[in-house]
Amino acid sequence: MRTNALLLAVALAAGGSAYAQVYSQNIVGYVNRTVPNGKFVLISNPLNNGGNTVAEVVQVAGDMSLYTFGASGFVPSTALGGSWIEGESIVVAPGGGFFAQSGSGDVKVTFVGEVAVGKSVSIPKGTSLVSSALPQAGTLDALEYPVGDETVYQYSAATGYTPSLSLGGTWIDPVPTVAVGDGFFVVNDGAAKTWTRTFKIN
Amino acid sequence: MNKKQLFASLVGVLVSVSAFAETGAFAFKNTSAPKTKVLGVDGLGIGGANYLIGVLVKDPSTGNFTDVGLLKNGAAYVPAVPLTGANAGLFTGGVITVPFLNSGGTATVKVVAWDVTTGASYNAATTRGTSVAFDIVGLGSGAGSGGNVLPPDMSLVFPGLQLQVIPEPSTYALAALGLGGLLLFRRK
Repeated sequence: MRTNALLLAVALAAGGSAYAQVYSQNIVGYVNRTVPNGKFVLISNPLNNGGNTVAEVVQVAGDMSLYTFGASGFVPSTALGGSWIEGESIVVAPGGGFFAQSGSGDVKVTFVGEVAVGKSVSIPKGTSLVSSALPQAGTLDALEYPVGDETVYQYSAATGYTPSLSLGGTWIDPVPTVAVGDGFFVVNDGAAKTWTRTFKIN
Repeated sequence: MNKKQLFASLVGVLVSVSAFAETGAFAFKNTSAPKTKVLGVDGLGIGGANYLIGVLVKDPSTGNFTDVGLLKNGAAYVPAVPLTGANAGLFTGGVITVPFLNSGGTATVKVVAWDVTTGASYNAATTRGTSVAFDIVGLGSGAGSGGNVLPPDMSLVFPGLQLQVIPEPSTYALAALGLGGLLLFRRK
């Protein structure tokens, strides 16, 4: 999985005079993730797309199951034969995560949209399912994750959950590394906090 | 291993153990393979608002199958309405949290279905059906437990069921009357 393209589009809107120019900057692109047949993968939507609902973000041609996670536990979205039959209005915005499983062979899901520049991710006390709000790969340290007292759980269908523990702002286990579009659980034993990124467009 | 690493390991063990001491949950659905359907009296998949499909979970403390206390997607439990058209016989009933079972445990369940035009509830309906009891192993984390264990998909183990017409009590009474009359006639 990788970010296949990143396009900097700068739209220039000219005003009535040369001194009244307004600039609008958007970074748009797409990211491919493979959703395996009969196995769950823990992924995220790395790009803003409309209202970021399941129906907007995940285009399906066959059968697929998604599970988001929130205060009421896991909530399903189900697609049959290329149509969402439940949970299509659930929001899967950048910074969150969800489980996905295909029922129609291995499927490539293409996330398209705009980079969520300036978006921060809330890390509440307790368990949450999160992701990097920006489509970047790397260690959580490199992605400026605010490490405190927590356990990060990454999921693989082959190996299950892999925990990474941190205490007092120091990783006890190896620093978790995430790919673009990965989701992961955080069991935060400390106070609620915010994961904020600084990101410059040049 | 220094003291800090030892402490971290112990915390990790405690976290792992606590992950299996939460309420249990499973995905109440049959839309994944093998898509074993709920069939009507005619042998075709049932569909639409004339039918409801529910689940009963065995409470180990009483041995009874019940839906009392269950949650659907973290809210009050309600039975599912089967899909229609080409998907008739299939249903998606959300993630069911079982308050009396733990994450990692096993739920023994029965799926029930009924025609609401013959009775508002399963017990009242005269066209209804129930599956054999079956196990859903490796329950996931339920609502409110805060855990992160993915609920298993019931589709994989659902044995299916078919509705049947249950004769009303008056039908039994008429049959008994007729049988009694026949015996009386033979004796004479």
